[in-house]
Amino acid sequence: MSSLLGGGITGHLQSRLQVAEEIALDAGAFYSPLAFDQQTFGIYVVPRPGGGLREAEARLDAAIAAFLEAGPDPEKLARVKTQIRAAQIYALDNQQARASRYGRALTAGLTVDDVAAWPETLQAVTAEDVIAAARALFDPGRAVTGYLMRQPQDMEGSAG
Amino acid sequence: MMRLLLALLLLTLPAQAMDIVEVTSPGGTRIWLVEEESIPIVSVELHFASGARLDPDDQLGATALMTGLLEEGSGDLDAQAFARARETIAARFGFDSGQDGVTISASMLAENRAETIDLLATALSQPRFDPSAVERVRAQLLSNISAAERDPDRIAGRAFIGALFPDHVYARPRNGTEATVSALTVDTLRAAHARALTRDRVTVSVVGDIGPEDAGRMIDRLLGALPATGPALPPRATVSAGGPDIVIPFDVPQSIAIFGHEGLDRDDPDFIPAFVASTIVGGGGFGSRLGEEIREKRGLTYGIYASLSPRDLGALYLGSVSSANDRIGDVVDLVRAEWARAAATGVTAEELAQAKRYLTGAYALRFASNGRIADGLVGLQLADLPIDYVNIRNDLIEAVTLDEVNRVAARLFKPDALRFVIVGQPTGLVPTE
Repeated sequence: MSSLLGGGITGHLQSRLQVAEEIALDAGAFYSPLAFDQQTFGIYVVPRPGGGLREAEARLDAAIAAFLEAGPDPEKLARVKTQIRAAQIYALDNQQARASRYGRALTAGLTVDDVAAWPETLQAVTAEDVIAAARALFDPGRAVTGYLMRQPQDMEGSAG
Repeated sequence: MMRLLLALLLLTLPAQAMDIVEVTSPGGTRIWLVEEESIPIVSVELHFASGARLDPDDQLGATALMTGLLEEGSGDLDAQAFARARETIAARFGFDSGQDGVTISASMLAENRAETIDLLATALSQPRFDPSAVERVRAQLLSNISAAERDPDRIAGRAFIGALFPDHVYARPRNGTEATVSALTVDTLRAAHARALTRDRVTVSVVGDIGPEDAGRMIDRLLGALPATGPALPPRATVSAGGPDIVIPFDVPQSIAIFGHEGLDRDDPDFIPAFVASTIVGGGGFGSRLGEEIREKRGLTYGIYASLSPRDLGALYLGSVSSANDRIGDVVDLVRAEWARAAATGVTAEELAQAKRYLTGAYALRFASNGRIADGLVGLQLADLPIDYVNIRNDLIEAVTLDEVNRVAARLFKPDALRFVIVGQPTGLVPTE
C-alpha cells in the first residue's frame, strides 16, 4: 500500500494531488515493514507555494477516501510487483544492503526464513488485501498530523 | 569457509578481480567495459562535460532544470506515461547536473536491456518539456533555491567558491536564482539541452552482463540521436591567491567554516603524493591530524576534514568544520597552525605508513557494486588515467616516499593563502558582510 499510495509520480497521491489537482509540490507515503515495537505508516503533502496546509490536508484526506473507495489501480499493483521482483535481482549487487536486510530483520524479531519468504509474500498480495489493510489502517482516531510552517498564515495560504 | 576466503581475496585483490577493456562502438564512441556475468543486470554511466558553467548569465539554472526534466516525459510519453514505462521494465535511472557536466546513471535488468535503452535514448534525445512538468519541476527547484538561502552550509559553500573563483562562471549559483529560474522558458530549456548532451563531450562506461559488441551497439543506440558537438567551454579559472576571511552573520548556535585555497589538478604529476599528504592531515574520520587536534584532544567539533577537489577548470583544496560560536575562533587558529606545520615540516614516516595501509586497504570498497564501478570508470577516463590504473593505483600509493610526500606537502599547504568563510555568530570574529 505504501508503494501504491507513494511510489512516485504514478502513485495514487502524486497522481492526484500533484498532477491532476496541481495543488502539491510533493506527496507520498512512507512505511517501514521492519520494527520491533509499534510501527507507523505516514502520508504527507507539500503544498505549492501560497497553498494553505488546511486545504492540502483536506485534499490528502479526500485522496485517501477515494483510494479506499476504488481500491488500487490493478496496473500499478502489477508494476509494483514487477519492481519488487527486480529489486531482488538488483539487491544481489549490493553486499552492504544484503547484510543490512538480514540484520534489520533479525533485530525486529524475524528469522532468516522470514527474510527468504518476504518476496513471495509480497507477490501474493491482492487488491482485496490492500483494501482490507487500508480500511484497518486509516482510522482518524489513531492518526496524528504534524504541520511545518514558517508563519501562522501558511495554514490558510495566500494564493488562489 | 571457502566463500569467506573468496570474499577476502576479492577485497584484497580488486585489481585482479576487475578486467577493464576499452571498446570502440561502431559509431566511434569509446567505452570502458567490465563484463560481469554473475548477476543479470547491466549498468551504464554517461558523463557529458558540459554543465551549468555553460548557462548564459541570464539563464542560470537552465541546465539544472533541463536535467530534472529528462525523466518528465519524452517522445510520445508524458511524465506519467514515462514513469509507467520505466516501472514496467524495472529500470533505474539517475539524472544529475553540476558545474562541470550532466551525469546519467542507468541500471537495468539484462532481460529488459533493449527496452530500457530505447526508453532512455528517448529521454536523452527527445525530452518534451511539457508545460505542466516544467512548472512542477521549476517549483521544486525554486523551493530548493529558497532552502539554500537559509542553509548555513550552502551559504558558506557559495561564498567560498565565489571568493576562490572570482569573476569565473564557477562563482555563479549552478541552480540559478529565483529570478533566473522563474524566467526560464521552454526555448531556453531546449537550448540548454542542445548544449548539454552532445556526443563529443561524453564519457561512457558499461558494467554487467553484456559483451563488447552488444555494449558498442547499445551505446550507439543510446547516443545516436544526440547532436555531434557542443559549444566551446569557458576558460580555466584563476584561483584567488588569498584574501581576508569572510564572516557572514547567521542566527545559529554553531558556526560553519569552509576553508582552503588552490589545490592540484587530477593530472598533476604530484597528485598522488598530495592525496596521501591530504589524507594524513585532513582525511575524514579518526586519526587525521585535524581530527586529532580539534576533535580528539579538545572536543571542539564532531568532525573536520580537508580534501583535494579538482574541477575541470580549476582545482581547490578545501575543508569544512563546525563548532560552537564561542569556539570557532580557536578552531580557526588550530587549523592555521596545522597548515603551517604541514607546510614547514611535513609528515612522519609512521604517519605515511599508516596512510598507505588505510588508502590501499580501502580502495576496493570503492568498487562495491556494478553501479559504483561504472561511476569509477567514468571518473578514471575523465582524469585521463590509463586503463590499468585500477590495477596499479595501490602500487602508486605504496611507492610514495617520505621525501616526496614532504616536498609535495610544502607545495600543497599554503598557510599564507589559507582562507576561511564562516557563517554563524562567531565570538571575536568581525562580520564582513
